[in-house]
Amino acid sequence: MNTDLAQSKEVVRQAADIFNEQRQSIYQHTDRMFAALMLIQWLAGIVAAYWISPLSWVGTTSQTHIHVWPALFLGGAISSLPIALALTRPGFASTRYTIAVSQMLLGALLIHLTGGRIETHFHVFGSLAFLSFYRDWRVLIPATLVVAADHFLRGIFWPQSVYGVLSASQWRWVEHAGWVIFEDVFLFIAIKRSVSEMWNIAERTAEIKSFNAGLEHHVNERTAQLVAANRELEREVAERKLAEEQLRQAQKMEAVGKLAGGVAHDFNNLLTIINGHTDLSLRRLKPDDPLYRKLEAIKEAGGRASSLTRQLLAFSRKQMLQPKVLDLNKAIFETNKILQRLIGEDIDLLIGLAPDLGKVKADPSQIEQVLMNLAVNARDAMPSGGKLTIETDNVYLSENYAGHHISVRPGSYIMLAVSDTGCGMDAKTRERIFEPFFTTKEVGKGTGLGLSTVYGIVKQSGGNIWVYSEEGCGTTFKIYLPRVDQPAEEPTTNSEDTNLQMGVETVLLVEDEEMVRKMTREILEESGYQVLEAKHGHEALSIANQHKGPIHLMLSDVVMPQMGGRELAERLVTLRSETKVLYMSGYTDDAIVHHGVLDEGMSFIEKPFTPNALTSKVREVLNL
Amino acid sequence: MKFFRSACATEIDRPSQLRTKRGRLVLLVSMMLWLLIVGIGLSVLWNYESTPGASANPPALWPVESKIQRAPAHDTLVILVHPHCPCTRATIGELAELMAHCQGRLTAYVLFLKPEGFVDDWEKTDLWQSAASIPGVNVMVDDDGAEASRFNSQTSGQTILYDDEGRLMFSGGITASRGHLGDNDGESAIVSLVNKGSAVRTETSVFGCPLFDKNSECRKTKDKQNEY
Repeated sequence: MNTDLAQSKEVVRQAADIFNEQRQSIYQHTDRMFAALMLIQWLAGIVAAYWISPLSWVGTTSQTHIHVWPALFLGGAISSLPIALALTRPGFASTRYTIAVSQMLLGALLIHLTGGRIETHFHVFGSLAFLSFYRDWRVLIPATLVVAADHFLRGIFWPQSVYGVLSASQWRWVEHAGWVIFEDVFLFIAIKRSVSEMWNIAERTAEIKSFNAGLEHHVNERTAQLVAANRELEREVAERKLAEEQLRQAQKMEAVGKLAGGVAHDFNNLLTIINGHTDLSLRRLKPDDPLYRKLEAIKEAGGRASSLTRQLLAFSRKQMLQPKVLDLNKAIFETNKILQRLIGEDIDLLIGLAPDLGKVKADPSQIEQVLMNLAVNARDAMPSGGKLTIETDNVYLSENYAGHHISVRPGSYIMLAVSDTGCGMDAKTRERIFEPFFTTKEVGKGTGLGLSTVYGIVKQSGGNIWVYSEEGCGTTFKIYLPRVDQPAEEPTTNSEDTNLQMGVETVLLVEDEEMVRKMTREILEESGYQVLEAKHGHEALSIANQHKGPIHLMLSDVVMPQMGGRELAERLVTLRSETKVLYMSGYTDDAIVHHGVLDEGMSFIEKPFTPNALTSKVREVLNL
Repeated sequence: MKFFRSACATEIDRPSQLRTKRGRLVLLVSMMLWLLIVGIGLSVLWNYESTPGASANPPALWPVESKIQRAPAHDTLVILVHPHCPCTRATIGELAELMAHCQGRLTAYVLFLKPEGFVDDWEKTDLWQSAASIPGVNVMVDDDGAEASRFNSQTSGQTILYDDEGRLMFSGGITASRGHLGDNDGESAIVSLVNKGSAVRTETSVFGCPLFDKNSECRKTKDKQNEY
């Protein structure tokens, strides 16, 4: 309602503007017309004076008639002011009124110059009509007053010249003025109607303008909305493309990881046999035996192969982790010297650690691995030296950020940023850097597993890694690990005993892989244990039923056909509650290990293992 | 209502310069000066228009020496005219009206002055043609103003009326002012005298150019006659 009233007021205001503009235009235009008319009338008066009464005579002598001079000078005087005002101040009320007065005075002059011809008196009525062009009834007033004053004054001073008699009635001028007013009345009505029509037109124009403005505003508004919607759509499309790309990348990495993990698992079984038998054989040979050095070469190769499979497992997030709540700043500080040695003297190591940094839960050795791999990668990107910057910070990844980054959950994170001022990399390289065996280094200089390992460790630790790189400027890796609100734990050191841990207990060995089973049995027996061997779970249960003596420990593979290691252990407990259980597996994501973390209360040894590692672990479990 | 409202609205848009006191004062003074000049000019003009020429002193009885044939049965009108006097054009115009009002009861003579030594047809101006075209009007040349002298007339447009017995009935002009057409006392008086035999006025002012030079013999003769 208020809006309608406001709009109505606005339309009236606009109508008044349009009306005034139009009226002013009419005033100015009519002023100019009168200026021209004044000039013409003046000249016409001069011509009339010369034509009608050029000379006056006194007997036989003549001279310029006195009418010529008023035609020239008085006509000029009457015309000059209105012409000047019309040219310099068109549109002013004072100009209009002056013109009205002048026009009637010129009429009086012309009537005189033409000898009072009745035809010339029509000039008065014509002038009034012309004045009505202004569409301002007020200009008729001074014009009428001039006519009335002319007759009134002449009636007083020169009555015969205007009324033809010496003693005219003193009210005779009213009759003359009355006829002028008679015309004024009609002109007034005509002006009123004309002005009323002008107002109506102005109102309609204002309404149309208002409608058009509203329409334009509406169109602009809609256009703006469409543009905004289009931008939003484009943004969503871009986000979706980015998300699809990230998803595609993640799926690719997942697939590659599974492949690598599967290969590594099979390799682990093989390496368990190779490394185990090599170790056993070396124990039985003297160092000067011709086979000793060859077996040592096999052992070394086996070790390197084990390292490779560990990296593959790390990438595929299948390696065994020992996560602890740790202070990342402290981990970096402790790695500082190693890193310094690793990157060499040409590269400046800058460390910017955030104070009051939150804690993360991760495997300290894996974090160390991450730092070293990234440092090596940075070093190789800066062959001529540069700066390696390691920074940490507390960050909060918002829902908005998470919406733009697939696999990111909103929450508090600890950021680890490793930046170099190296050669950087292009977009295509950026897309593939985490793929295993992808490298831009020369053949033999890199395994292509460094960044893959970093990727796998970060992912397995529940974090995310992003790379920002610009060719010629450098690269930054940003790792976000979930923040945990727990105090940091002290790191434990695992030292592997170099000697076989001996024992006399009875061990039930369950392994479906015959070669692994045979080798494991051999290690255990060499260490003094009595070994009961089973190919699968059912056989193991059968042995447990039939064996008269105690079974101190069951060493069982986890992944086996028909019955898995965990089920076997649960059923064994019902038969022999005193029997302890030690699992062994090449998988880190099975019935007892989830995402590389062992279920609570479980004992586990990861394949491939060395004879020493096995006997140590067996001894450790038996001693619990 | 709309009309008056909108008419008032026009005053809103007056340019700001008009609002300055100095501008308004200059405009006001200019207009007052202009009105004064124009008023003075018009006053001078009106004064000139209303200033009559020298009045005639015609003989009370028709001068027998006149060469004009007086009408025996009705009134005779004599008008002395300077052929080049522009003011007399109004007199001829009024004569036409007068003759229309007195049809058949008035014989009119318009005598056109022709000074001695002037070229032939000097007197045959548009006034001659105009006068000649009026029914009942006779136009004649007044050589060297002899008739004007007989009728003691000095101003162009001098109109004199004699009755059918040669008695002077009216002397004056038949225009209200110099060269001005329109109703006037002279014309009204003549129409009344011719049609009714009486009139309120028998003399009026005459407006026109002097018929004779200031030092002409005619004038001197007349002036002497006036002295006597």
